[in-house]
Amino acid sequence: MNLIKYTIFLFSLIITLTNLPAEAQQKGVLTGKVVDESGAPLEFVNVGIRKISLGGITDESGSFIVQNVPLGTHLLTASLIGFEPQQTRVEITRNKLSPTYNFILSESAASLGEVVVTGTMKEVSKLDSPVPVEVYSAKFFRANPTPSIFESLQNVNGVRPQINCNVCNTGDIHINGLEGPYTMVLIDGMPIVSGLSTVYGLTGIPQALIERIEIVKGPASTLYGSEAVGGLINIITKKPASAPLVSADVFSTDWGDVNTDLGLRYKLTEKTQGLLGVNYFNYQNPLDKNGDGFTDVTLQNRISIFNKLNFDRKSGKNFSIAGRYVYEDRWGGEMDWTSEYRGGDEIYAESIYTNRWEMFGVYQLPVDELINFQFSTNGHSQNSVYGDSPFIADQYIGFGQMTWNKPLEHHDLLFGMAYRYTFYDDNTPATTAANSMNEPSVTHLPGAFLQDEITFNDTHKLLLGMRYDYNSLHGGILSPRINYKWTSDNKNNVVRMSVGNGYRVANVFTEDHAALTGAREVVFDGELDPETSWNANLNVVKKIYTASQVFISLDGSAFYTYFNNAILPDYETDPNKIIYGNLDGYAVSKGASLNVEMSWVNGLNIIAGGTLMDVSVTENDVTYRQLLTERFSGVWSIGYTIPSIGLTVDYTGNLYGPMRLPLLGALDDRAGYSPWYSLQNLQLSKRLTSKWEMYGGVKNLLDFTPAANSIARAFDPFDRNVVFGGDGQVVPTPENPTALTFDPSYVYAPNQGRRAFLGVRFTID
Amino acid sequence: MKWIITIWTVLLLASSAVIVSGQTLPWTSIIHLGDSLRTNPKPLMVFIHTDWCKYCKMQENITFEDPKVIDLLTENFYCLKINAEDQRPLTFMGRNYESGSAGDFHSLARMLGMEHGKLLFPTTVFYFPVTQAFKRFQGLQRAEDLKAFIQEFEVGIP
Repeated sequence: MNLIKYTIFLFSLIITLTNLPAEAQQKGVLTGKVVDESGAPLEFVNVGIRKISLGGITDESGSFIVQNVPLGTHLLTASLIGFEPQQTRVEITRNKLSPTYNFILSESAASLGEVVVTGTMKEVSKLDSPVPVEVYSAKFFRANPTPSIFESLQNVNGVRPQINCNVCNTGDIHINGLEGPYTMVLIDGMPIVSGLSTVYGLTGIPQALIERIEIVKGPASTLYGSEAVGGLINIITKKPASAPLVSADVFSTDWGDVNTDLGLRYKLTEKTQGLLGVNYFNYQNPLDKNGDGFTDVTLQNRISIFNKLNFDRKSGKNFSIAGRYVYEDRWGGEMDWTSEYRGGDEIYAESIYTNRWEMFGVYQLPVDELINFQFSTNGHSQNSVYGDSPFIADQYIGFGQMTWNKPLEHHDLLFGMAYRYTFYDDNTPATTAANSMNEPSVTHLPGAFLQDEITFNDTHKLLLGMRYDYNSLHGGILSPRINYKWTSDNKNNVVRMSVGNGYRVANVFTEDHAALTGAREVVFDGELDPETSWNANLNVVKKIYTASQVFISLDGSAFYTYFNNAILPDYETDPNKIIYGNLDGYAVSKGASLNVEMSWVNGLNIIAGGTLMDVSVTENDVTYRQLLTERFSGVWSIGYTIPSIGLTVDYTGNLYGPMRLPLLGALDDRAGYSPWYSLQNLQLSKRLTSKWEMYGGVKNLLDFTPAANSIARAFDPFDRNVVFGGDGQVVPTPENPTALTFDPSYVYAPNQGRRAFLGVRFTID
Repeated sequence: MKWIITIWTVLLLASSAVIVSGQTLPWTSIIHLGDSLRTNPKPLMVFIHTDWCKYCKMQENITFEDPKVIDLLTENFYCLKINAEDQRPLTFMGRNYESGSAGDFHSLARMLGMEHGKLLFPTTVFYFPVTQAFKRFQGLQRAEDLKAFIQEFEVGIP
């Protein structure tokens, strides 16, 4: 303890001071005052001459005295934590033995912190929020690096990225067994990924700029409107203050794909900070390991550029604008396909060109009240062919929202008004009027919402919300919600209960590309009503600190969702058609999930989760199980860093129970249920210097791949040898005894077996 | 009679167990910190945390329960705990710090804990006002780390 050193110094100081008159040596005294920029005195400021270890601290009036200063010129420093230190040259001469020097210290610049946004639309920390929000940092996903957010989400309990098409690898995100269209995807709280882009939208978000991903399981339509029926995924991008100056992340697997993420923080002007992110993904190595004649994984060439500008305003209020552009060229199909065959009926392939731009921003009004204006707009154009059937679609969405937040003593009010405009046009019957003229679909969706978060005390919190939307096609839609949260005194136990409502104005065609796999025709069964869901959710969180230095967190949820008017695709009535209709009956998704996290002080961290669920559809008093929905799914992530060599080991994996699969009629001899399967990955990463990090490992350790006959009649993609009866049903023939047609929608797992990967990260803070 | 003895024994054991783990870190109230420093200048150990941060809880419930750490800190430091999401303004060493506006952390936590523009939880700060000696540790501190550091902490005039 160096207190002793200090005490000795004090003593010697006192001794020299008391001895001063006797020695009669000429020494000076420095006095003065230290204030801040507003003139207020600063206490506890250290004022001294460092070279000769002389000094003292200021008193409550900001005054200081430095005694016993030898004659000559010295550098006097005033320093206080939180302020920029200041130095001044002082001079002690025989004529001027006690000069006065004053300091004005200015505060050091401090930047902003980070907290949660999603659950209640306002920024609150996770524990505070009455809505159970799961927060995953970018670091969490690094345990199993993937080229897209879509694939990364497999690491989250209860969330499954589902590939819907064996050929073009389109996918959607299932949350607690609910299909992709029920999940709303936001970037920085803005509803950007919707409609057309839900299919390919999650692949082009540069991961270098992702701060964290927040997930709400359960409806959130009261705040976010249409589409937030089953859950919410909010991708929060970095703020300039928290982004590194330069970051680069490049990785490749032995399949020959290369993923590059670049991030750059820059200053456009003194008051404008910018963030640039670029993602480039390239995979041009057709492989057919299962021998069905088709590419196992879709070939892709994709670039995505994201730029965000933050403006410093005098008022300190928020103003930022961001934009993103994505271009993608992907194709999958027969191995000998080249672009000359695009759209033809000689060699089968699905080829999709996507062009997409987005603009979005937030502007806080320069008034005392907390009023935010948010806007987003995007355009999406897709030019695709599925075999010889083209699908060309354009979509424009404009969105604006004004929110007013009024915090009172026990109430925290949020009032908002929103408007969404959607333009959609394609070359299919979906946008064709009765007189067979093209009639693009235009939807206006104005809405208003009100929310009150009532804090009774530290233990009880209640959130009430109500929203009204008027949809130009379906009419008025009301969505209320109520959330309650109880916190124990030591804050280690939390119980949350919620009841809420969600709705979705469906544009099924754009959302279900299984409909476009070339082989089937899409048919609508009458006018479609908006889907509505009612959900009840119970969430219990318990934190335990054991004597053996382990932290355990248990996070359990039980959920029940009841759907009305569910719009369901019917694949089974006619193998050549997908018939969409409002369900005459209801669908129910119920289940429970548990997440366990264990951390040791030595850095070992285990996260494991499991979800049990039952998703059923009841129609005309007959209940059956929803297709492509597992009853059990498990996920784990085990990480450990060996500090002495800076090596981190990550072992991640998933386990899925059987799913009912879409068969093509009664004669189809393919398995009706998928087997239990598990995908497991191992990664080693090593920090080389403060700037460089290398990582590598093996994905899909168990080498699991789905059955090779997943694509029905892969050898006859244009159904040339299929015989249809008068009723549209396939007639079994000796060549086709099981009465199949070409169909790539029987898919439950990725087609990639065991593979090695290697990557490198470079960061300058 | 036998069961009474059994219950007594159990109760005794239980209470002694509580006593054994009963020693905790004496946190200094921020309100009294200024006066304490004026009368008896000692270095500070400031623990910056949030309610929801897992590693903060681990440091609080594991590191700060270590008897040796408690001894070292109690003897030579004023120990201060700051919740980065405290909604009240706080006075620290004679100066007022505002609570963070919507969505931001407390300005005192930012002032003490921010490094390279980033605030990490937990952050442990050692600070001696008299000399302005200052050391900041971001992330979970284990008992061994703290013990080693406390014994070295340089409080002499810089």
